[in-house]
Amino acid sequence: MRDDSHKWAAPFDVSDVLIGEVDGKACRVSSASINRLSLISGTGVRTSSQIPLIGWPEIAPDGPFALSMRRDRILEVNGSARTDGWDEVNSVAISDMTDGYHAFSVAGSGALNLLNRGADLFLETPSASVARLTFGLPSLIYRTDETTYTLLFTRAQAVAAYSALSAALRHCASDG
Amino acid sequence: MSGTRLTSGGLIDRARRIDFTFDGRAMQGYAGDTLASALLANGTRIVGRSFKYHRPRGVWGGWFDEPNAIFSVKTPRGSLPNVLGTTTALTPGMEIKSVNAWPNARFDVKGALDLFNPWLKAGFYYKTFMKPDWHLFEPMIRKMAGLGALEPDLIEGYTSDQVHATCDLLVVGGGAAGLAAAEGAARQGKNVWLVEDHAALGGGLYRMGGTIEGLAPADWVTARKAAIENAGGRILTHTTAFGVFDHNLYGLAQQSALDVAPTLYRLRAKDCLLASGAIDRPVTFANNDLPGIMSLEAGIEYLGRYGVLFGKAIAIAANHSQTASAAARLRDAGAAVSLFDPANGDLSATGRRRVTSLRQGGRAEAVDCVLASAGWTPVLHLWRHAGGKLRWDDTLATFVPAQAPKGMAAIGAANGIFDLDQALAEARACATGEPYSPSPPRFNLTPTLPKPGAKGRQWIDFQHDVTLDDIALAERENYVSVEHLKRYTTLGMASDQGKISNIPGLAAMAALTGKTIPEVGTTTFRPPFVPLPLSLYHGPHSGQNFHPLKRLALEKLHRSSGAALGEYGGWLRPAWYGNQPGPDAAQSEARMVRAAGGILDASPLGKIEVMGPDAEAFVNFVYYNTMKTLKPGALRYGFLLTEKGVVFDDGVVFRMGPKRFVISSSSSHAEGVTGLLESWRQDGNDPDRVFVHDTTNHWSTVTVTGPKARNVTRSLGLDIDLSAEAFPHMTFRETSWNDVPLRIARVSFTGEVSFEVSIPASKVEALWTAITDAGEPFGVSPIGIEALSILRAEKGFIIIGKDTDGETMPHDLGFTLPRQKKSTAFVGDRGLHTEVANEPDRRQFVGLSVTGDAPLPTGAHLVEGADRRSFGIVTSSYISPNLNRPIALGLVERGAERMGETVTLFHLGKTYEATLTSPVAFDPDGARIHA
Amino acid sequence: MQLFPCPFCGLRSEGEFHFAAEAGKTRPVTTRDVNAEEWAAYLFDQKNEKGATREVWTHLPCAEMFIMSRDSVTMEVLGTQTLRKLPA
Repeated sequence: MRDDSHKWAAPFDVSDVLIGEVDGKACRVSSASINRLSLISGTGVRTSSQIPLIGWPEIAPDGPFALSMRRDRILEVNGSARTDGWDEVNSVAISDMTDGYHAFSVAGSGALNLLNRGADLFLETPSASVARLTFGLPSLIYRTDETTYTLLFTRAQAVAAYSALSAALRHCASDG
Repeated sequence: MSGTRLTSGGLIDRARRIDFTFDGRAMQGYAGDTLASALLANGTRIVGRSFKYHRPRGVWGGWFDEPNAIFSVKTPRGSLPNVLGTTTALTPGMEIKSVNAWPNARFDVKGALDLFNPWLKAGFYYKTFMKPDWHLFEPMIRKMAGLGALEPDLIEGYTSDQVHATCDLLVVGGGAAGLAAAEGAARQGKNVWLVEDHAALGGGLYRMGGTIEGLAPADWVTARKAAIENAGGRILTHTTAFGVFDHNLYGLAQQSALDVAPTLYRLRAKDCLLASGAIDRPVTFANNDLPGIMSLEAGIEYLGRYGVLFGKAIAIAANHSQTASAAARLRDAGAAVSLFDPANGDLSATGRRRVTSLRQGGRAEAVDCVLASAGWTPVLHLWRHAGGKLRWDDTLATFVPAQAPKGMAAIGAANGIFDLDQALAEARACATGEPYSPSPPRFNLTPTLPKPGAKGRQWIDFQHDVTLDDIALAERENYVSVEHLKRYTTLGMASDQGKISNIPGLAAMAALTGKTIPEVGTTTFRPPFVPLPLSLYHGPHSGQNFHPLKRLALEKLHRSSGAALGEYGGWLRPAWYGNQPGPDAAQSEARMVRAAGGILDASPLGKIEVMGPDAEAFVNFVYYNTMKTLKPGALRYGFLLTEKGVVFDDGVVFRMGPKRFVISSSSSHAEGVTGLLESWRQDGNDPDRVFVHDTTNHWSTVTVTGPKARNVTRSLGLDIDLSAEAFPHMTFRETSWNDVPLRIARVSFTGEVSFEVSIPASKVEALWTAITDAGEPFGVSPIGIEALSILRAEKGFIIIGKDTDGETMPHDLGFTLPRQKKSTAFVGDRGLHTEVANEPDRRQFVGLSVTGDAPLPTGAHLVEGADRRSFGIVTSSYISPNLNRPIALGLVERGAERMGETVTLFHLGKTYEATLTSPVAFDPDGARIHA
Repeated sequence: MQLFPCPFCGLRSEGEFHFAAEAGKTRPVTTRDVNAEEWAAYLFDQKNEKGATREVWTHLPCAEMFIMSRDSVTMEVLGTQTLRKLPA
């Protein structure tokens, strides 16, 4: 029975921004806002999606899109409101996950260099899924333009992810 | 001893002087120097003392093949131990200290140890310090062992950066062969990485003098570098490829300065060309460890790269065709050079603190430096890491590459090609795939190997003071396997790792046993190739980033309410609130709950949705308890088992609808349970008919518990009837609060009326504030996990993994019905009927009523008989503030049928007494929970 | 660090995978009598083969369970096979 409060930095604020250079290239980490996330599972859910399906390293559009997570699972981003539960008509399972993830935006010409501190993530290695371990944490990573990446971490691990991103940014500052 | 720096030549920048100290004496070097080259330039002969005998030792090698020049170095940023002087760049303000020597390397008190050398043979420690007990000697020996000492001035921010990368071709080594190969491959459009461990490219080119393909070495190197980079290749200098790992993963360590942690590259390379060169082999002769004796390669390397001519009267003892050109270079630089061919008879050096002469038969030359070479040894550590084979080459008297590992080829000197033109042609052909016809080698040598029985102390391993005699002793005592030889004599241990001592040692053992060297074999080559700081491996994964805890959405509010936070099941959670000491706070919080109520952040409880046409059958299959009879709106407590029948998790199952369940796993188990469900879903069930969503992160949960829980919850103004009749225990309702979906369940871990309120995490701060505000007038305030632990123990509610272990089955906990009655298959069903499961002496869950006021120690054993046989353990123990006495829970053999029995407990030498009781100490009828 | 091919995601590093079981085991039908030998064979008997092996692995990020053939000596991955029904 002991008080470890002081051993763990208090959680970051969503307005906090990390700015630095990685391998001499600019990089900026900030929290990103997403209006709605719907987790949808079903046998044909990837092929029947009416909105763009985004894998790695495809670039997500501005409007609604679906992140390809598993063979039978997508995460709909900024789609329409849905009812949680088993959807008889479409034979899909639906859960609102809007509050389940925290989104970070990693932007700049050094963004991928920073992500390579935590994951073997390469543009020339495509993947059907955006799910991967980053800094040892489960994450979803997709691009919103050539040099901007959105990283979704579970809410409970967002502080760990922020801490890992800031540590990586700090420790590669002396590099190059 | 005078300085030995020439006025011109080498890669050093004479315009940039660097001041430093060595054992307190002020010295000067230049930018481009290593610690070793600067010390040599200042005329330093003794750089340290040997590990065992404290013999004076000088610089032997020119790069990583250096056994002696190991220092403690203080820079303006802090101190570092065990710094290899030959590979470390000199920077301004360095304070260099010799190690393993006191007060310093020139005058070492322990040097007298050398006089005892007849008693300090191989195996000395094993033979001498075993009786009566090694531990008596250990502290003294530990104090004498080791090299550098850790200094307290840690370097702030000394943390390695770690990078993942890929490439088509990795070229290891930026010498002539590596540069030519990298250029060839890059011009073909391949993504090429070239790594070189020196600060400058060029490898051995600076040693030879003359020109390469018509250019001065520095100009040729510049041209190759430009060509590689123009073709898109990437060159990393000061970077060592230290290991090859599975599936073509290469570990690279890039060092920018001594006091900055190196960067780790985890490079996945499709192919690798090993152009790691070769190093000089020592000639084994009497007193071959005297300061002033160094490898021939090192001698001309210090001349060519650093402009240091270490001797004025130099003897070269070498056996190969490159000796003459080396001698010519040294003479050009101003030294008198005499040549000795080891084939002409036994050599011996004389001198005390430095070499003063070299003798062979009747011939003796007065010298101040001996440069020795028994030929080149290709550097093939990475080749062996990758699984490549070696072949003994009699003409080169060394191991050379044989069968290549997948995706790797060796070129240049690493491939046993010591002729420059031939190496260039081979490297280019190898990189581009163009044909190449080998020309006959223009290199030859007369094999020179250690001769057992030769007179004098013949040093094989300079770093660990292993002599030829030690190897002979190991042979006599039958430590003939190379791996035994290594461990018995410490041959090739420490940072040398056999780089220079391996072949002489193997050759000696071969000669002693009458075997060939390949028959003797080599020891295993393991990464890392050179010593590296541990920071390289952990990188930023330290401190808070080592094992980061999960964090609550309410953490900021908890902190501002004065919560003490601690780790509970992988989460950082409030342990208690307020300024009281923890145990006191937990007692008052637990008392408050039974008197009025408490508010708990229960967000880590799992919320795992199981949906689909087969959801009911699936949940019924994975749970021990029958779940198919559960009605929508109701919830049921149950166990998940492993196939062995052991309890994996307990939790509550919510039935949301005909095809939808929510599994509320225990707080530390949400991910484990999701994984278990997912694996059963895909194994033996139809994954197209049932889906598992872990929504734990989307929801946060606030629990209100206690006699006033209903009053407090009512003030949220929810549109549901909270009365016991309308909303009984083990049911739940879905509604909304301020237009946000909300789930409220009557389920209790305290034995009091409880409302578990769940809401999307982004809204939980508002909910927590509303509930805590509402609680205040009723004397109900937040409680931490410590109070909850007491409350649940008063009620005999288990915590999986605390009150159960890897053998506990549900019937040990009193849950017997499904084992006897459940007719459909379920996970663990057969495991509950094995011989072990039916064993009558199984440990069963009990309460312990303690005799006296002192609580039992958790972990205490229930013991019987004179030998104190353990027949159970205490799993939980607290002082109950509501019963005003200690309470405890435990697992005890045949516990259920032994109620009322008085037992003896034992823990750390103390004995206790208790009586076995029901686990439920408080409110045994359970009236309060239904109120 | 090895590279394993997830049948859905493609090549990913070893750290994203968990070993699940040796391939080829089927859970006995436990609603009829399962004798101790049969149950022990299902739960405990492992071939632990040297050389070519067939194993069930899980790719954690996408939760896919699949069969991977690999060589337990050379660490070479010989192939993978999904356990899921694929659309015709």
